Amino acid sequence: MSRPEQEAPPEIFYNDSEASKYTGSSRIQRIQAEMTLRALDLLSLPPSSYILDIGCGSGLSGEILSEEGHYWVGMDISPSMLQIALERDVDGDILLSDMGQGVPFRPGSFDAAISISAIQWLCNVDSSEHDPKYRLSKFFQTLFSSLKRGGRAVFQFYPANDTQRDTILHAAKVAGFTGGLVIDDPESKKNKKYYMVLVAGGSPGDINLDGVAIDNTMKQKSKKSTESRKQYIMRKKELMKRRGERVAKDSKYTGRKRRTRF
Amino acid sequence: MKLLTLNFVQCATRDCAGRQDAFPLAPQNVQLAAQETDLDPDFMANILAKIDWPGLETSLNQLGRPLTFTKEQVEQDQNLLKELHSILIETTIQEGELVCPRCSHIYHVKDGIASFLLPPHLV
Repeated sequence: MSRPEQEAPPEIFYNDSEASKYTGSSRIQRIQAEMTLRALDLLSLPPSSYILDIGCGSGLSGEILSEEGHYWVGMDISPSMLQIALERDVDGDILLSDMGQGVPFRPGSFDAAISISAIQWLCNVDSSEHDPKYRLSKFFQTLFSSLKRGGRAVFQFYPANDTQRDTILHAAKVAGFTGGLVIDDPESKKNKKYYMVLVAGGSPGDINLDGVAIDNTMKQKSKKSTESRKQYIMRKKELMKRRGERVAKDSKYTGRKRRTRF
Repeated sequence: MKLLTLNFVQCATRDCAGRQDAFPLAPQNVQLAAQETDLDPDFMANILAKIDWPGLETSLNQLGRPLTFTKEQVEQDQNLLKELHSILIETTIQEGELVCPRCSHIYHVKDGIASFLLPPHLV
């Protein structure tokens, strides 16, 4: 299976014909719906939430969000896809925007964010100005601030390889998100699905210190205090012997104090 | 673009990102349209806590449709909630421009879709 990411930049790849092909395919519709429902499942939101759909395309995922009773704002870089979304008369609001340029919303706007098959596009270098690392960090930083505190984000994506997957995860961590990767159907090569589940600065809760012993022996005592007088003398004699000096023989009297009665 | 969304977007250029004075974007030469939708009281209650009220007042003044009620009044009166619903969700900007109050960058709105694509030197 070829990867669309390798063919052309997203705004060019999803031209009018590709966008209508994509939206019209019942197979894609079904997969997109399944993935959106799974992502919503992972988000476990109360009804009537305000959601950001990143890479909303023609609104296939947004339709599911509306059906589930949520309100959404979508952003996508492909004008053709958005045109089809308009024709399909989706309920959400749509913006033409490049996620690598940041999410243009003020802090605390959304209850959650969702993204279906989109963020792997951020790893592309489609023009000389594109730096995937910069774009990823810009994206995650602005997304972090646009979510409310404790807001969640689920991204279904298709990483090209493990490096790409780790780069994306790392960028999210650096931006301050906590969370991780959920892999559905990990055995299947075709149906394997990656969901990155992130939380924007939720309350960490108290640190559980039950049953934790605090180790005081960490502080090292000085050599002098642990060493007895006899040990000190033996150590010095050993050293002198090794240097070739003449030293008195060791005996049971070595290091003993001479009594005054002597 | 719904007026609700206008209350959440801010200027995305490098200099303005994350700055409070880059909000709200001022609508210019706009054509508004109305689209009827059902009122969802739960969502309105949720969104009421999120709306930047001074920003909304500014935007509506710029559109020449000043608000006639305050946030506290809406919280108590169901009818006003319906009016707020018609302002925020049923009113959309179809054509026009959104201007950043700080850097005067212009975002165009066409067919109800605002374009937030930036030229490379502003990213």
